[in-house]
Amino acid sequence: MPVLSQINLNRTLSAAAYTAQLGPIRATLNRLCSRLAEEGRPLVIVLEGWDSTLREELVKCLGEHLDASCYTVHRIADFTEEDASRHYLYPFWRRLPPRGYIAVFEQSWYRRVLGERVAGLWPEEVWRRAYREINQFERQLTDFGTLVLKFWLYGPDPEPDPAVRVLRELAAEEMLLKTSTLNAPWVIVEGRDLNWARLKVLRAVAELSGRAAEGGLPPSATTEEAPEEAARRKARKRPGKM
Amino acid sequence: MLGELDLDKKLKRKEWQQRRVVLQERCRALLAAAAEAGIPLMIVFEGWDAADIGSSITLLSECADPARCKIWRVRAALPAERNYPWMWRFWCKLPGRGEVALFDRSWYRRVLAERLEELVPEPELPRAYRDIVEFEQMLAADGYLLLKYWLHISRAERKRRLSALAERPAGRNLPFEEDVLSYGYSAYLQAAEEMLQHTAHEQAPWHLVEADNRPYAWWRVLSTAAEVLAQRLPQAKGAYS
Repeated sequence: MPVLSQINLNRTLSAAAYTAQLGPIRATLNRLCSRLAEEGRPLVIVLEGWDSTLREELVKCLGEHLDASCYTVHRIADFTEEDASRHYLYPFWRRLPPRGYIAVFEQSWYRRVLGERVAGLWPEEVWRRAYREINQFERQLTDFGTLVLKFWLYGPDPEPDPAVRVLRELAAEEMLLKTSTLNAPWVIVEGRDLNWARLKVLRAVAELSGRAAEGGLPPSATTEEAPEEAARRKARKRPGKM
Repeated sequence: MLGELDLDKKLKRKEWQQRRVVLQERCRALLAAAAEAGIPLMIVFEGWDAADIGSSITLLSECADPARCKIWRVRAALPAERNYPWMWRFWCKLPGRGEVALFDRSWYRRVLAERLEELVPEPELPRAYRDIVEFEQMLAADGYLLLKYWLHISRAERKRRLSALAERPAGRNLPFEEDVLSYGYSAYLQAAEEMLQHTAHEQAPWHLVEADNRPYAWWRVLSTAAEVLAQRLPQAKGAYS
């Protein structure tokens, strides 16, 4: 059943309502970085959608509300030769945030099943395989305790060619179906109203971090070794023992 | 699996010296062809602490273009590396198209050393095996060529080599202490057997090398590499074999 066609694209939010509703979540957003650091979690935010202007607006909005000392934006346009000559997930692995940090991906590993699929860059079996690989990748992130938030910006498609628009809709639909997992669900940001979109994104970020703090999410991985434990382990270790 | 290996296999040094030239020449040609074809190559070495992985790596790296070949010596994760999912540090070491990455120990540390040092809780072990297999399958599907060696030595040979290393004059010692296992032979053997069972798959099978006799191990490592590369490069097979 098509999910996207049932979405109401006429949502709007006045500037006054935006400010009023933003008030209560401001405090959560301000504390977000220290909270992530305390819990030892990274946060990965993915912004996908066909409208690049809207993506950029939301990147700007996130930047205004999050502490720059723990926050980085990655755009696939900035990728280098080194990224291009390796596995398609490599540039994203390389740019993952460490514990306590936030990375915003303005376009992401989903490009393989969105833009690259529509452009016909790969044979079908390649982008089909990517759904599974992407889910495996995201599961490794959330197994570690990473918070993963994926936003699908669903508004009027700026593409002039109706035939391409159909392909794009199909790709988006299939992506949402195959990669909405419990550990890394998609949040659909509908319509073209900027205030509505901003509030929806900021609220989702605030809510997820709140849920993590209340224990609604699995704890972060325990690969961290306390210094005293390391010392004890060193002492136990006797070289040459056979 | 490892118990069935015949560790008495030997090759005379003199014979090795003769074979070495031809074999390395062949590997050089095949590696050049792989680079030309844009194949990213990952060669993984695991095995006992005294199995002398280093010399095998040297032999292989001599055959590769130094500008396109990296040797990664994988030991315990650094504190900064522990701030990322465990596979992160290996993804960061991926070779590009036409490049070679040689791993002196690898992501398999997770289910060997780290498991035995109790850094990986037992319930997380199946997850580690799964992460490893998924990682390798992803790479293989993308055209990466993975070559995995297990260098096996007997308990007696290991004991002999470790005491020989310990008796070397100070200053000439390789910094091998950090590599020496802090747990017994049988614990490591069991973990290794389990690892081999869980992580052998079609795209990246294990090559078990009987390494009690060094020249034999060298010959096996090089000839296996040549064989696998030749299989992968059918056009090269005719030209170089």
